[in-house]
Amino acid sequence: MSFTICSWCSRNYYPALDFCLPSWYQNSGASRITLHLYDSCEGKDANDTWFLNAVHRCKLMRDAVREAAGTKLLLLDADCIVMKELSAGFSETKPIGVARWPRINMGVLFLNMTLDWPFVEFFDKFVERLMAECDRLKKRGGKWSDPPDQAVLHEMLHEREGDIEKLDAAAWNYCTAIPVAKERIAKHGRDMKILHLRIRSTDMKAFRGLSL
Amino acid sequence: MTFIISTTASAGYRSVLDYCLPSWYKNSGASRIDIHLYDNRRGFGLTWQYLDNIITRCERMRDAVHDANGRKLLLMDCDCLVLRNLAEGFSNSRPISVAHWPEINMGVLFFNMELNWPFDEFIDEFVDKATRRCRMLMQVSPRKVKQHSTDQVIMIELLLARETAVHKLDGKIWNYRYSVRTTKTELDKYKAEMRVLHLRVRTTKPEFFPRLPL
Repeated sequence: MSFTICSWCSRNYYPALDFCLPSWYQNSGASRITLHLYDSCEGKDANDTWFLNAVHRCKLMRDAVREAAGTKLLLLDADCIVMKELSAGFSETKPIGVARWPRINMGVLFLNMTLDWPFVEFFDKFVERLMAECDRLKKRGGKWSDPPDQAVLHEMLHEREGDIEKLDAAAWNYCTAIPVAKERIAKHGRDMKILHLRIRSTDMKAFRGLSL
Repeated sequence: MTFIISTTASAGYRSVLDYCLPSWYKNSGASRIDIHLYDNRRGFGLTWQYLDNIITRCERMRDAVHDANGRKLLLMDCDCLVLRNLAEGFSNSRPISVAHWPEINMGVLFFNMELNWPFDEFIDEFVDKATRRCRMLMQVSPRKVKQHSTDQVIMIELLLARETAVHKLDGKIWNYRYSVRTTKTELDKYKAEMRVLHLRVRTTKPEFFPRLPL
């Protein structure tokens, strides 16, 4: 079964990509990998910079969905290690597969676009709502409790709950910090398909000399 | 300026990707990298597999060209190391840029698809002819196939027939062909300007690709 892995990466995340990308072509079974590379946008302050980059990334995501019409697409964060073959993540009946429910994590999203579902409209709406949410937050001083892209997608996926395949988070999006990743793999590695290292752009030195 | 790099890699070439791919996202300036992956099909010996891989590779190249409609596309072999920004490889007046004229090497092909030129027809003709040639060789004389005697000769033939559409790049800079006889002194001589170092890893021996003193 053929599918594409699609990811986004700013220059800051190249150490994550160096570490994770080989596992994608070695283990995933994908027939294609598409990497979108971009330079980080600079805003007026840290929050503004974050908003600009989040919107930019989500626009790239939307464009990728438009281009991949009729195929199977896995949207994957650059800090994810693929441990096993991933084709079973695509449901044959439900258009979107997410690991982690009810609190979703947008780092791993399976889109089965061979199914008839308004993917393009959904992601157009997602970007539109994200931009509105960022504007709203900016007016209120720019502070947020949940990252706005994640919060907006969370809300939209919950509105469509009947169309969502809920995958087991321990297998499909096992989130961990790097310092404890090794012991987590030793304990739960047998079931893991995707290990999400969830690292900040400012912490990339954690990859130096790392072996898992 | 934004452009796409597209490559193909069979299962045997994953270690070559490990070596070369980081140089692409770090140095090329590309806004997107597409890696088309496929498994080697088994059976009928190494030469049959070699030909079968060429057919798959050509088909993936065609998909890449069709997908890139209206953008700048660099088709590059996965055993190429990128040393510098590659945006200048695209000509603004000629649709295709290649190195090593007239003995063109198709490992590095710049397609400026922002220009009005029949790219789809060109790649369709190429894939059609290359596939037919491979299938003929599979049946007739697979033991006599020499490397580069298949898709490469078709590409050369098609480009020579369209010379006015081709921008000729300096081979030493844009597609430096590495060989086991290349010395460090020679590499150093061109290193300051070199943009693409083509390692030319043998299909049958990807595990022997060189660890370069760069």
